[in-house]
Amino acid sequence: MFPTTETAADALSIRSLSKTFAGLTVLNDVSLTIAPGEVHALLGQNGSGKSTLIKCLAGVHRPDPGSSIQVNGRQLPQTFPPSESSRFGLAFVHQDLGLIGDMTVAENLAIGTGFERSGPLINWRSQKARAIEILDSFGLLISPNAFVRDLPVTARTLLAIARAFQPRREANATPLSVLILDEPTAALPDNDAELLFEAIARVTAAGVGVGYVTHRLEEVFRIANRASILRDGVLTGTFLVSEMTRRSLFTAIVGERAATELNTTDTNEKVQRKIGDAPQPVVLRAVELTGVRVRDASLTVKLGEILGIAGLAGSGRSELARLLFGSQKLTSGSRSINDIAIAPASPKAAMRAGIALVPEDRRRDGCILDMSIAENITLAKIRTTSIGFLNLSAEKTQVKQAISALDIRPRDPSRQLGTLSGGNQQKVVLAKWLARNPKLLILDEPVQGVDVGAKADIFALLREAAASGAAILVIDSDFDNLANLCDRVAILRNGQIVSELEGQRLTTENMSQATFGVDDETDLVSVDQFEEKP
Amino acid sequence: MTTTLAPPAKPPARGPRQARPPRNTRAKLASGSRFALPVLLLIFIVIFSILEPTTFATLNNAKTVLSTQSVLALVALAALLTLVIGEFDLSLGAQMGLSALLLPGLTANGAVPIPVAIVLSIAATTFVGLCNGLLVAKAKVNSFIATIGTAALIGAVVLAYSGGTVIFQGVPAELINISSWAPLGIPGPIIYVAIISVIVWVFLKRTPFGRYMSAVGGSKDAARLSGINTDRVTIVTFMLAGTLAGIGGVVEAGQLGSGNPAVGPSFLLPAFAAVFLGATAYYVGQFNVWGTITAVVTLATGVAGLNLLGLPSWVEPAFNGVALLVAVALTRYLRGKPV
Repeated sequence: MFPTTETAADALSIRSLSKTFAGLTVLNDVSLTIAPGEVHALLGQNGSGKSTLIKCLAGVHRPDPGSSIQVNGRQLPQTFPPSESSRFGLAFVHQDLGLIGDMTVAENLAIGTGFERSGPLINWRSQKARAIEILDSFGLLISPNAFVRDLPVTARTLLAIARAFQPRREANATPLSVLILDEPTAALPDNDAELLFEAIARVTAAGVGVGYVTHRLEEVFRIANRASILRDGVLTGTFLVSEMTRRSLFTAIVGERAATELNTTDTNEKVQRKIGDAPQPVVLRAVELTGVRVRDASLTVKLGEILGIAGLAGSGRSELARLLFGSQKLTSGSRSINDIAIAPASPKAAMRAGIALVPEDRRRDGCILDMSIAENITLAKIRTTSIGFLNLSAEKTQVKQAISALDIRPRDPSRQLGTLSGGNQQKVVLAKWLARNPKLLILDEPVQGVDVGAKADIFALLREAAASGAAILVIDSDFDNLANLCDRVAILRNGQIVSELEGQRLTTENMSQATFGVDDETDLVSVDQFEEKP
Repeated sequence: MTTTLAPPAKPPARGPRQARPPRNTRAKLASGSRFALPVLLLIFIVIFSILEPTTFATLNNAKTVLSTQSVLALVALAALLTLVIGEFDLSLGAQMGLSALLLPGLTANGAVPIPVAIVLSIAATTFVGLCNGLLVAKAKVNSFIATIGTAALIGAVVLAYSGGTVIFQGVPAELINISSWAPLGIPGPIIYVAIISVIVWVFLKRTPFGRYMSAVGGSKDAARLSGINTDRVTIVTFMLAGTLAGIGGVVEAGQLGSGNPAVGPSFLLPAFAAVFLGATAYYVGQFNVWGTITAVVTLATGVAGLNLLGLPSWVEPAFNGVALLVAVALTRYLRGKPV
């Protein structure tokens, strides 16, 4: 009764798929196929275009003209609403699973395929019988009456897969040809991955092709037949997994480069700048900070120093920033600025101590898009007259100075921030904090969504701020940026600071290897997460 | 930086998030519509003046329309404050009614002197605002739900206090002086609204607290991470809204000269209609004082004119309802995001 694909056609065939957003090519001429019964891993770093590819399949994005997507030999229309993708034999299990916690297992299974009915009413007896049949076929020993919110995450993941895989109720429905799983193991406890793999084996045994997005390389070797790798929106290749090693796969994902070419000039300059400098006092001293993911992280930043934090997503990078700034509660540990301890209470206490944070999510946390450039720049340090009104003239002078010092475009202080480009928005956020002359400036992904020119400007500003006496801590998932900017980089892995790199050892490749836990000699991957936002 | 080994190469995929949809049409419409509302007001005035030169186009009619709308204007300004911080206060109508009942109730038979009773009435609604603020900021109850709850409680208090009947026995006659006072022929309520509008405008545009309010309304997270005590801003804003609703109640009591337990809740919808309609004028897409006041006057003029034409009484709620829906949809479109 489960769907099977009887033809020899590819379950999924993508040809010359391109996607351009406002002149930016995100996917460039991507072609790949998934055979019936195959597990096809889809790999790539953040921003490589995986999500866009999936969204093109799901009908969320419309591919550029000339692109072709076929499911089981049948051409997909140029546009279709996402709700219709199942009609073409496509199913998706996204990271959030799309289950409804306040409904029962049986109800969740019925969503999407419809309820078993007697006339106009739901026939709960046959609905439950059908649910049990589906659950049994996946070895899921849960009650159809259980609420999804009460299920452990593994059961939920399997339920989502079972739901995608269950037969359609309509007689003439297209059987499932392709199931796309987007990082299904991201939230799973390690031991439970096997259960997921068994479920996937059931799906492929029925002749369904599985597209498997993951960052965990060992899973690729465990279940995938082939792997396609996207880099910068281009398919760099489709490989037979049996012919690859972890290292060759890793290299294919991040790209080939000789370690000697790594920003040698920049690094040397920095080394030279540092040599001969008198030892500088320590500004930030964080001792054994522990939060949810971060454990016992200790670090120091000296006056005039730019410290980088390199880590994969999920390593606790952003949490570390929040713990330092006080926007997340410390479980234990302490922070001090110039040897004065900071009350753990709030961002306000951290700000008073001289800490500033440029948060990762600029649009939500960093700035207020509805307000003007001027209002944003002055928000963290509002100038008032002696009787407590806004000092608009002082504000105007300050904002004008900031706009020209940071080269913010447009130069109109009354422009609404939301109308600015990402780079200029970020400069405004920087200007807001620089106005407070912070002793420690923490930046979480400061050049995210920022164009190349603005990025260079922002780096120059940070170097300037460091030179004029601030201590700077930068988190960046682009290790090139860290190699370029930082005097020293701390490696954060699984919430712990495992090592530090400085001087000649401060290279992009060393950071990649250290964060992945890839060891030069042994070709091992000990940390499995790859770059991805939580 | 051209060849790469580790993570990177973000520009292509990060780009789209940064590239915003073309907003030309919206931007043009937004800039063009700045004066649509005052122009609509002028059109109303011209049309009704031509249709009813003897009844509509008189100074007395203008005074009547404006002073009867002064209570609505005050409730609308209260609603404006909470909307600036991105919250709804659906208890403002009830709060106004509470104050409008307490004042005659307290002063009846000389129990409490009028000035003290005024202060107590306004204090009562400010306290309601404090409760609303605490519910929203500390108990994290959605403001919509929290204020529906307090509105219901106020309704209960009003019923219990009045016994469901109009309080008029022993209410001092001087009470109506509050609203019948008219220096230089300008009705007092118009003066109150003018003064309070200026204060609210200065407060929102020229004080740090007003700036914090906009920041909280723009993004609570970003405001908090900029060192703003968002809970405090929320609580104080609800209290200020309560104060304005209380003042509205005082003016209402002055106009009625008695305490009517039924008055109040019916002011809520037109007040919100005015604030949303006001957001389409002057500072397009932003809730603003002068837009709100213009909207109150425009709605009142429209209703007054239609009434003088002899249209049935259901025209007013229909007019207000349509205005609210059109205004919300238009504000939503011009802001480019949900209100």
